[in-house]
Amino acid sequence: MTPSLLHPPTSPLVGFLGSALLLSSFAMLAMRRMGSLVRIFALQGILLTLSTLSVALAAKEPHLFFSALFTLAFKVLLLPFLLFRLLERLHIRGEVEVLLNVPTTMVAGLFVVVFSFALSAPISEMANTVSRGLIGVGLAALLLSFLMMITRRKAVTQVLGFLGMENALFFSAINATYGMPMVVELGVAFDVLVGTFVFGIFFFQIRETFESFDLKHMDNTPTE
Amino acid sequence: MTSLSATPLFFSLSTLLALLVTGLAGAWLLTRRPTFATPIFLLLSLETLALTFSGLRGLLAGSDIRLVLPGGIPDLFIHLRQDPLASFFLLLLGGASTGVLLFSAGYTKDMATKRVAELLSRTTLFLFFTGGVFLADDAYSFMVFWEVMAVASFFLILSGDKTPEVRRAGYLTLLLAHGGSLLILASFALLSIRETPSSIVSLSSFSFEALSQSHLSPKGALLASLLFLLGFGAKAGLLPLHVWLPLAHPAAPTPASALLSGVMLKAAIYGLIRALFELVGLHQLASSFGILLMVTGAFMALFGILHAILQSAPKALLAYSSLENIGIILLGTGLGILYLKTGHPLPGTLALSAALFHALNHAFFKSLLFLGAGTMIHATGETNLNRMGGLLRHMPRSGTLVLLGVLSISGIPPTNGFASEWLLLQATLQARDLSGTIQRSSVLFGAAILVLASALAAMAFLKFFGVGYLGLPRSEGAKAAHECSLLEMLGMGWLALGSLLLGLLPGLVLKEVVKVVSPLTATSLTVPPEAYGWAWLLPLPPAGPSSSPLLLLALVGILTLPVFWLYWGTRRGKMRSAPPWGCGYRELSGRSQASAESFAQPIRHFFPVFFSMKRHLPTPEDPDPVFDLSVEDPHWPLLYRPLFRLFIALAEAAERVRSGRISVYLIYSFTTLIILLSVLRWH
Repeated sequence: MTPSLLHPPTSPLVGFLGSALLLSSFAMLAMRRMGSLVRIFALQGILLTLSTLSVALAAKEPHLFFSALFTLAFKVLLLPFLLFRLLERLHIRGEVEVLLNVPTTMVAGLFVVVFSFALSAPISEMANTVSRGLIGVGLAALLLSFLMMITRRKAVTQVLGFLGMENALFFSAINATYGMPMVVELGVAFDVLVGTFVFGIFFFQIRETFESFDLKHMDNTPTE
Repeated sequence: MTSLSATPLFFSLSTLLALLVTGLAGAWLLTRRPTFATPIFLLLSLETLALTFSGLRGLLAGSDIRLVLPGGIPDLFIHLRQDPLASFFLLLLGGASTGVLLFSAGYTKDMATKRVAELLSRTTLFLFFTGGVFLADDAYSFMVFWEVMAVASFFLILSGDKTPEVRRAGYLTLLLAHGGSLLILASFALLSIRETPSSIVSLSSFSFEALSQSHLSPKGALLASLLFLLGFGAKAGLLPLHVWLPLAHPAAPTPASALLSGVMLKAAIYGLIRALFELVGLHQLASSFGILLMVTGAFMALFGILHAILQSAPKALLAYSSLENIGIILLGTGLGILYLKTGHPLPGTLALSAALFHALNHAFFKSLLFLGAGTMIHATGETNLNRMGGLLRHMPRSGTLVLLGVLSISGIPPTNGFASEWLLLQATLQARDLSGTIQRSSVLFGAAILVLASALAAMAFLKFFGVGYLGLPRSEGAKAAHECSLLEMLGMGWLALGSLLLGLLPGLVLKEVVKVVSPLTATSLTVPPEAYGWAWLLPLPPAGPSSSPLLLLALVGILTLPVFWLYWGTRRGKMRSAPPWGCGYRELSGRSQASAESFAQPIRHFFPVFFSMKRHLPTPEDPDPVFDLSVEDPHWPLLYRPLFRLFIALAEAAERVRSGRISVYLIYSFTTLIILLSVLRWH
């Protein structure tokens, strides 16, 4: 990889937080227990809050402070709380079941990261934010979450993958253009919250119908 | 400039709006007061009469008024314009629909209230949006009016019997209409391309005035005109996109079939002429396109009339004959383009005028004939000519009106059908001025087909009238036939009167039609419209052949009336009725007459290429001999059914992608995302 593809982030703190986020995405991909997954999701929320704060300080963008506050409230406190309660109510303790084994998924994840960095190079050239080198990180985290949705079998992990994708999008937006307009951010946060509620309701329904959360019960294959 | 409220455009607009309001409010009122059907239809016919006069006024004054109304979306205005071409087609719309609505006032008497309300609201919607098509002056509102007109025509068809065949005909119509709309849209897009692309596309650049400023390469212009031809052709029944027409027009209730055939096909012709001459522009049209249009039209005329002769259901016969007439109109349009592009403005204007004249004539006599077919079906309860017969005895007055329509459509002088076809023939005979061999021979080929098609049309309508109205009744229903109501007759009478006037005063009509055509051709015409006299039809003034239907009628009258008078004067009171000689049979029944099929047998025999026939001839040893014959449009087995099979095979192949597993679907989106991103980055 040529050096130009990796812009050194202006603030070492932002860079550190970005790599921590990427690491946490890999951790989600590798994690085998459901409770730990939710904990990593909360950790991602903390990393996101911190990086938003540091970008806000470095770029002197006051509205990003509000974004950081919302992130803290929604993604660190409210959503993990809801998810934990969900796991408790549904008595989910067991292991995460995978369609593709973890080492193979990790290798695929490596390729995804390389691809994301190569892809984001021209965008980083164009962006004029202090943390433009981290756009690739955001994209990589997004695709890794997607990869997690593909390779997991249980419905709850799909939801966590979906929430992880939203985190990554938020991170990319912060680094590419100092975040989306406030209205959009509020709207997205609210959507995610409502989405979680809806998923929760669905999970209860699914369990009552199929006695299981395995995705294969939701497959539409009459021949099987 | 006079005040806006005095212009024909304002008058047309308010009439159309009044029509819409009356129709929709009337449909609502009907559900409460079922007896109001007749007055509502009468009121509607008055409004269409006003529309007729608005069109006539605009045409006589030669007014060309534009109006821009604010639309629903910012920066997107509704451009309206009533120029002579629009006035001419408004006149056509109003004239034909006045008769049809008058007829409906009587026709709907025995129908269930719900069906009447359905027919009423759909008819007015159809009329309003067709009027909008004629008035629209930008691509956006044109498409809106055009599409709603297509949907309204779909619902008009569905307001017939609720059978699977009717539904199938309706869906086929809708499918082809929407396919055509897409092509029209594509052509509009092609015309809106400019050499200097501006980043902000102003929506006002889609007004017809802006679109007509296009500079296309010769290939681009040809593509645009072909797209317009196919797009509008899908709604006009252009071969091979015509398959919906013979299914849909007979399926609709009688007033609706009359409107679909009399008005909607003309809307497509209007669109084609507007698009070719104004939007693409004569300067960008190719003479080869004119030849293509002419040859297609000629083939269509022949194909349509041959199939018309073979039909045994009166409405199906009329529907196929519409194909013939549209073919004649397209032939005239193509001929006009060819002449104008090769520098012969006089015959070119004549050919185009003849095409428009024929469109007006067809609107009147075809609506009349469809209404007549409706009365035949209603009076006998039969839908096949083989179960009718002898109707003239029971329905002398409506039968006479139908006879007028039959004479007109067969092109018997001095009717209007003769006038327009004769004009077109005169235009084809100017082919000696053309230089190219291909051009000259294709025009003469067109002329020959035109004459053949007119002769065959006379045969088809001889069958229509002869088998249906003359001879002995062929079924119990035909024996018990009854005359139609006064209002129905009034509606048919209006249309017959229109046909008659158009036929007797063709010089006056030609003078006005030339005024419509001249702005379109944008070539300096050496002859002013005033040169066309009123009593004499003089296609190529100052010299050349001429015809005077009034004089002809007077001459025929002078020669025949004394004989007629003498005959009746001497024979009064001495009439006696006696059984005719029955060729040795003990009694003559309806079954001993020539049937509808036997009329068509020679045609089937001489032109086998035009039909796809399945015939089962029983052998002498067959213990249960049944003669069986089915004739089909060859487009079904050769084009449409293979096409349907191909689509189904493709759909089944695509079905394999659909595994039904969520993970697989997620992989699809993941892969698509990766591929799209890669393309974006390294394209």
